[in-house]
Amino acid sequence: MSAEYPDAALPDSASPGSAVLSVRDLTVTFPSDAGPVQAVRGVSYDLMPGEVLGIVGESGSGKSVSSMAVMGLLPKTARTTGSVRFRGRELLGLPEKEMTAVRGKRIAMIFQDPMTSLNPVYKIGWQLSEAVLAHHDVSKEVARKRSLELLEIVGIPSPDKRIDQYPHEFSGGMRQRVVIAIAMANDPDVIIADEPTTALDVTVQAQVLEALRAAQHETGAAMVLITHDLGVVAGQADRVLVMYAGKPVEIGPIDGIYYQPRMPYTVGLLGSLPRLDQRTQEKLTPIPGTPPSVVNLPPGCPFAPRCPLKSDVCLRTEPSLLPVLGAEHQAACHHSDLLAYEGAMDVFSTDPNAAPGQGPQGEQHLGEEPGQSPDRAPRQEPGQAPGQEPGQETGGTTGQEPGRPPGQHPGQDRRDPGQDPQSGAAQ
Amino acid sequence: MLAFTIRRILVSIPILILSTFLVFLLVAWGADPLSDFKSKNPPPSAAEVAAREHALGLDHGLLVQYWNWIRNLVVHGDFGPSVQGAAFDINAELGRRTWVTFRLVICSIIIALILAVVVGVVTAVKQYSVTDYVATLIGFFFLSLPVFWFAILLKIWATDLNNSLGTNIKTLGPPGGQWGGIGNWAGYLVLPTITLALSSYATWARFQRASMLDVLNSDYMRLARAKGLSSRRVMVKHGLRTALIPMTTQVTLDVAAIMGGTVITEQIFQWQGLGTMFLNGIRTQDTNAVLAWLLISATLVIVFNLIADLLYAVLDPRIRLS
Amino acid sequence: MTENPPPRDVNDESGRPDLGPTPGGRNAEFLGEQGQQPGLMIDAVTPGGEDILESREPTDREFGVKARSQWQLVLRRFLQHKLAVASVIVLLLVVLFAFVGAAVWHYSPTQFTDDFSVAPSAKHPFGTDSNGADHMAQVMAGTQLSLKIAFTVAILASVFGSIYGAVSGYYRGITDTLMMRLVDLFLTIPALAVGALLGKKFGSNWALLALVLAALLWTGSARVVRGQVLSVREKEFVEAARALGATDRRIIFRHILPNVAGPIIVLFTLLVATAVLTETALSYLGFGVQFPDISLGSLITAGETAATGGRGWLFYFPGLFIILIALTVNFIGDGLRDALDPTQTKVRA
Repeated sequence: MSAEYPDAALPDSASPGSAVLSVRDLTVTFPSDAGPVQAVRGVSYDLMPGEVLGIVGESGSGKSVSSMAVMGLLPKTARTTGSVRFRGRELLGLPEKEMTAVRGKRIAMIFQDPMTSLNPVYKIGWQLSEAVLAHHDVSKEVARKRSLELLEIVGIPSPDKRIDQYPHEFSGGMRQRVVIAIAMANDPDVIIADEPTTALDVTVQAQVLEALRAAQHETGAAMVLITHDLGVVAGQADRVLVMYAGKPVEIGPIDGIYYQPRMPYTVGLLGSLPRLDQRTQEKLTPIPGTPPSVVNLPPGCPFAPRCPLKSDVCLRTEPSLLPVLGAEHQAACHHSDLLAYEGAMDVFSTDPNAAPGQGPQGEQHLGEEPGQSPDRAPRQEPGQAPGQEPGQETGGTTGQEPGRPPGQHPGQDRRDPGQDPQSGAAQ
Repeated sequence: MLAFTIRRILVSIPILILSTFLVFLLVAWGADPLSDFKSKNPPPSAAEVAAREHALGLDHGLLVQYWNWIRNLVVHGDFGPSVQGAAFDINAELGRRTWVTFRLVICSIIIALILAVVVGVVTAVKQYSVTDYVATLIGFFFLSLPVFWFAILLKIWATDLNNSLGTNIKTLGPPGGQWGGIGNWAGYLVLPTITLALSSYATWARFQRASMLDVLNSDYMRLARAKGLSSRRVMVKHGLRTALIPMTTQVTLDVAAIMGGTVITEQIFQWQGLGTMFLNGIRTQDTNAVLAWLLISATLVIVFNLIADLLYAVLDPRIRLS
Repeated sequence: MTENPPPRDVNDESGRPDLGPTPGGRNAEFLGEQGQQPGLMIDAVTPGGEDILESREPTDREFGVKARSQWQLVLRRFLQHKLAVASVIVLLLVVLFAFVGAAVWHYSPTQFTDDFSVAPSAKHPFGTDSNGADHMAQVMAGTQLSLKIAFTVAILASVFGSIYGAVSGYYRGITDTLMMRLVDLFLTIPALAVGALLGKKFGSNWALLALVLAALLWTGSARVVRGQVLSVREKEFVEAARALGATDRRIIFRHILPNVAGPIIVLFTLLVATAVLTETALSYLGFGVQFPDISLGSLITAGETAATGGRGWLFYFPGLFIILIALTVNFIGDGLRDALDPTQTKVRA
């Protein structure tokens, strides 16, 4: 990934003006009888040209809804505020007619379930040509030619035969390739891929990711890759945004997130991921509990009920996103400094009795000094484990780096593994 | 497609044959063609009854009776004699009445279908709007309306209107041979057709609404919007086109009910269609007339099923190729 | 029908494990956020199902609301459907009118007074017919019988149809094919017509008439239940039951049918409405309930000529009561459908 786009690995966050897509304070609220559902509670990010931004979170964290808001595809009942700028042009509140000119042409989207994304009653070629014809005044023959080309790029074998078939004659992976082909049909500047591999067999996922990469390479588009699968993000993204309960809780370059997570939730996500360098008899570490309901969220950090590091301040005030390791890496946690020293094993002790009381020293004294949190980041810099800086630079994919990889401390007494995959985001 | 058509037709044949048998059993069980004769005063002797039974072929076993009936029907195209006497020739009556009834059925299906699709789609697109609520309420009302009562009501109103205006909106009386043209033709048709159409309309509109809502919520509609297609194109090409498919099945399911409805409608508006023949057949225990009606009705339903299957295959490639 | 989706029990959310993306598509994410996972909710209360909800206690400190059973939730949603609730009340009033009213009212339907063909008045709220019989007493008797028949038909038809459909859907294969062909066969013959044929023979006994109607109207439930069963039988809890060695009979009655209870209940209400309309139509034609029994349909037969002669009350009142029964039952069915299947009331664009 980084080898292919070396310049994109370290985004120039200092000048948001050059961002192709710039999202600021995006909120989405759905009405419901139980009160407004705050699906997205303030998301901001900049997407640089050619960059791949991974958005990670459990289902219900608002990651898909925020992207649907960018596309203007939310139901009319949804109330969206904030700002979404594409090359400086505000998209929120754009009349439907002008928005259709942007959709598919400038920003394209790939959806989660390829089995239902294609209209079952039309041929593949028809649906591809339709996308081309929607934004280009060309003849049907030209559109068909282009469709064939697109099928070729996404790796559909014998496209000239497949183009006249119906979606139900395609496998899931093949259908997702078609959806990818549709997305790249008009050379978009941004592709939003919403869980593009989630509904697919593991064996097919890699092929589809390959097709996705081909599409990005071909169009040169920047990509927002939404997933709950940290493994997918690791191989694809330049930067990662972790979402929890409708809000970003950590954002940063991929290596920073993977090797130096500064938010207990991120740590937990990584801890529930199986790793090759882990001793086989070791079990995964689950995050206890489930995401909160986003109706009438209580004050404080929404992750606090599940967080082993929680203290009084966490229950009172919600932490905001603040720089932890340089300007690019930001985390929203009152206790992010503590994480400089601990791996997931330490944070998420699997002994249920020990979990809340973990690190009493941290919990007690840190709880008394919330005011200090803004300047905690610089303080942490020197404290981090040695050997992590290089890891960030080389962009190596997974943790063979000397830095202590999170989520694997041997010799801990853990919960029944049978429950584990359900509680974490990664499955 | 041709193979599919042939296959479907072949499947329909055994159903039709079984249907004739079922119908025959029902009628043999439910009606006694000699009941009038037996209740004569003074009662006929056993020998007389036996002679009658022999004349009508009722002294054979049920299977033989069925065989005779179906053979007569297939070989000679003859539905058999009527107990109402030689003056009532079932075959001739059928020839005259079938068109009357079918015209009523086809017209009301077309009217109900068009109304249902339009209302169903509009209420789905404007879900939870005032239009949706009003249309839904009206639909529920029609769904709960006793057709026969409503037909009488229409008749009373129309008669009152005719009387008060001094004009003659022709809704009553049998459609005779000397029609004055299209206007007249439509005039005779209008009330019975409305009556018959309304109850199907209510069911279908609700069904179309549900089907359209399904489609509106589908992933491919979202993808169609994400492609940047105009709302209109998304609605028509992706929405309506797909939402119409399930309707074909629903309509065929209701054809039998509509045929049943014609019995009531014809009775109330005194049409000389198949329905009144059927009712008179039951009243006089004229088994062959009843059988003829049931057979025609079953055939119509099976033919509609066939058409719907073929239509479904044309509309939905998944069916065609499987 | 309802404007807003019913409130969710927060416990649904807190107890909900992350399933990852649901293949439900567009609404999956929204559903997740509003805590609406109807399928899951039903799965969790399934007898013999893997009870994912209960294996994990809610951990959110703010959401310690007492858990409600699924049926309490259904009731709560039903109560939000105002038309359905009003319909329950109206239907109860109609039932009271027919059963209690007939016992209390000081005229009997067969009693001839000296008031011949009088219009509705304080003495005879619904007027009288040409014989001087009190029309309200007649309507009470007619409503009573029509209700009795309708409910009998609905019970018989939905019980038989559900079992038939469940067996057909459960065994699939050749059994299913044969059983469903039989249903197709039944569907080729108009129920009303066969009802007329058989009603002529059995109409003098209302219970037999109900049996005939039930025998004609069960096919709808069989089809719907079969469709439901086809999907439910693939669920994990059925597999679990099978793995535990449960008999087919037990699986069908204890695991599958309870899970399609929702559609069956809705079908039941639809059947009541259909039965009322069919029975009264047959009785109107003279092939249903027969003299001396009184049905709303046979009252309309008499009322038809009366109405053209200016005595409309004899025609309007019985018709009104048919509509009242059918309409309220239909609304109740709609309310139940919404209450049992929250996805139907989802707020959408």
